[in-house]
Amino acid sequence: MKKTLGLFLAVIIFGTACKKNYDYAFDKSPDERVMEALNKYNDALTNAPHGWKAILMPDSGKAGSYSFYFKFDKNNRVQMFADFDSTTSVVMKESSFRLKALQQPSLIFDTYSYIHLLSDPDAGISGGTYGGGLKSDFEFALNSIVGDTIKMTGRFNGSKAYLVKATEAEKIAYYAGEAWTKGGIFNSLNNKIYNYWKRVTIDGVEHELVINSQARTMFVNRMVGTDFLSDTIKFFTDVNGVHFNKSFTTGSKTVSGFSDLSWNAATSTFSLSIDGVASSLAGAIAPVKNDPNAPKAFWDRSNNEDTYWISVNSFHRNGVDDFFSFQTKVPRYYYFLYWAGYGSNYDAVGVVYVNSSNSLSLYGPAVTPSFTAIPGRIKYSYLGTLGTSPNSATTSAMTATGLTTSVRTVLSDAAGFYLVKTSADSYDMVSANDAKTWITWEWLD
Amino acid sequence: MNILKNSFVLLLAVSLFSCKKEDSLPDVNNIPGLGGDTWAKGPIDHWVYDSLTVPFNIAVKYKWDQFELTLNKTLVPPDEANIIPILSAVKKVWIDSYVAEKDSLFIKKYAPKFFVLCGSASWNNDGTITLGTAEGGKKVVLYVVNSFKTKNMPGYVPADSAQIIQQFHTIQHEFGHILHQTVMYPLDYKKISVGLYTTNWNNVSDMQALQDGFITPYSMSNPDDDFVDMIATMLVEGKAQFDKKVNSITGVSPNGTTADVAKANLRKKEAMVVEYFRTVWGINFYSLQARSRAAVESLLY
Repeated sequence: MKKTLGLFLAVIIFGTACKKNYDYAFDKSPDERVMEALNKYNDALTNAPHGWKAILMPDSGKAGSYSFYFKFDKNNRVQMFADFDSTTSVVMKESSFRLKALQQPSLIFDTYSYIHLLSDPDAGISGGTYGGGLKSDFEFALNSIVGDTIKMTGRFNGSKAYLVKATEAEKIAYYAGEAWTKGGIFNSLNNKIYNYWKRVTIDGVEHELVINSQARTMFVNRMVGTDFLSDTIKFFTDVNGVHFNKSFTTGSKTVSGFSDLSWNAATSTFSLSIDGVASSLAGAIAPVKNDPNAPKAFWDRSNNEDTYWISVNSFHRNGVDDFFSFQTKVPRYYYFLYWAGYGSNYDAVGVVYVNSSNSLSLYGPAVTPSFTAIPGRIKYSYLGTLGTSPNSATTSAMTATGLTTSVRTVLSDAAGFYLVKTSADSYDMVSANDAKTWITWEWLD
Repeated sequence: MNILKNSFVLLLAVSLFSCKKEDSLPDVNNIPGLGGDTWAKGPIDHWVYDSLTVPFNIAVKYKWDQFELTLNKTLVPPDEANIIPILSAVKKVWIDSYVAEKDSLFIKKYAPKFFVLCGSASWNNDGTITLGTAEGGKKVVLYVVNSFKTKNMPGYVPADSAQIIQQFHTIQHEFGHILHQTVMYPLDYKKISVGLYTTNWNNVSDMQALQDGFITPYSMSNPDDDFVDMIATMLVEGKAQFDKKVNSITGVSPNGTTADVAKANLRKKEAMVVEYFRTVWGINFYSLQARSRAAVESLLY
């Protein structure tokens, strides 16, 4: 047995140890192939005569999409536009880039430009968290180049990005500053039309848009006969208009974006065209379909679980978040709160702040809700004031009366409020009077 | 059995020796990135080469390379518009003061040879931010380059001076480390505030630190940082401001240090720093202090 085994081993060793021909799995060495790939991408990027349009979706593609224009040259310089605001869309910024082999062929935007705003760890710059930013990227692994499209993946946060060759007309339009007027302006919609709901007629059907320009998502709601249809759509804007990540169909039409945007200040409407047909977008003071059970469902959740809804930005009014400036005027502001069934016959709505003994205190009006006064809405009557004022100091920017009066005046609106369920754990409470005041309530687990 | 064993060993030997391969390494000149990154040189590269690399043998890396920074942190590269301003300010306040007071050989010999610039601050898990780091007497990383503003730059407001002061403080702090790592300060320094050093320094206010006889809260982290923060504060804020801080101490600290003890300790530390510069480096510290403070003021006011 041992003999056989010994022979067997000997044969194996002798038979295999002398393999002299040395083959690569591919026809060239890894270094040569990396160089080839880098040169291929470098040529593609710098030889595109009119530059590239790009879409960037931070945080593994989970976040909203942002659009860019890049023009790369042979001297490692890149000129850039971005659709964030009326400056980044219009003022070209030049910085540097380079291609490098970082395990994969990679494109690095290696000095600061618009694309870095999303990654900036200072939350004061683009939002997100301190130390994390919006979880975007500026170092990308180049995945593929097919036809006119380059696909890349962020190396740090896995952002998804696509580059598509721009046409000459697009390049001219970008450098002429048209990216804002023709598309980017859509991102400022909520600062132009103050109503919560916007409506646009497509193919004879009235469509309602609820737009979150920060997250770059919107709900598209409409009635088809007696059926209520709703789509959640991600959008981005560029020099050609507004583009949707998925199209929706309505009647015979498939809608994948808006173009030819223009703002008409006199009528407070947006002119736009959908598939070549002109239409207009205007504010609306009521939803196309109100969910009559939403107010009670909202109230029950807080009451039944004996805990509360919160809102960081509190009231949004006339295009302004935190309209009453609680965040700056209330010392040690924590958040704004809604506690249904706080007392046997009233709810608490008010400011939560950190008090002098470093624990949380509540201050605000007590209100009694009614679900039947106006069916499908919630309506409040004022009862009194709860808690200790955060402003014992007389020098404070907001007096105790100022604080309760602001909240009380909003809540006492005779028309009451609609409640719109925006996700499993959030509701928007919208004033039924003019739909220009609303508050986003979030559930904390 | 023995024959079999022997022949097995023989076979093994043969098989090992028979494997001489003719392969040479692939062409090493074709390894991408070997010898560092390259790019078309621009005005910033020329400025750095002429102003820092040629006269002082200092290299600056401003283009993004996360391997020079912390790998698991979200950071961004510096804005090109701020690179020359911050580097020339650093040169003016730090290098030029030392050169004028001592000589350029001193800077060539001891200055960190490699500066890395980062656009943002580096956020730590405990909520503090890092403004600068130094490694091995060779490398200094300067953060927050993108919010650097001097009075000559558009949009400067007096509040911006706070950050510049901190950045100069960082450089002087790190250079102080290089100095004491080259020649150690007298060990008696460590005995001045013995028992008051704490890792919890970031929860101490400026006032409490002073009451305990420390010029900054960070000084409380350990004697080395105490020593270099003394150097940095005195150089960047100047003698008048330093004296004002020391004289402002009143009351008893939460640790029980009285104002008189705190003042005396700070004066003792000051004297040791001055003496250290004189005996070890042959530098008149008060004269250096006046120069570097004047340079700071020329950028800010």
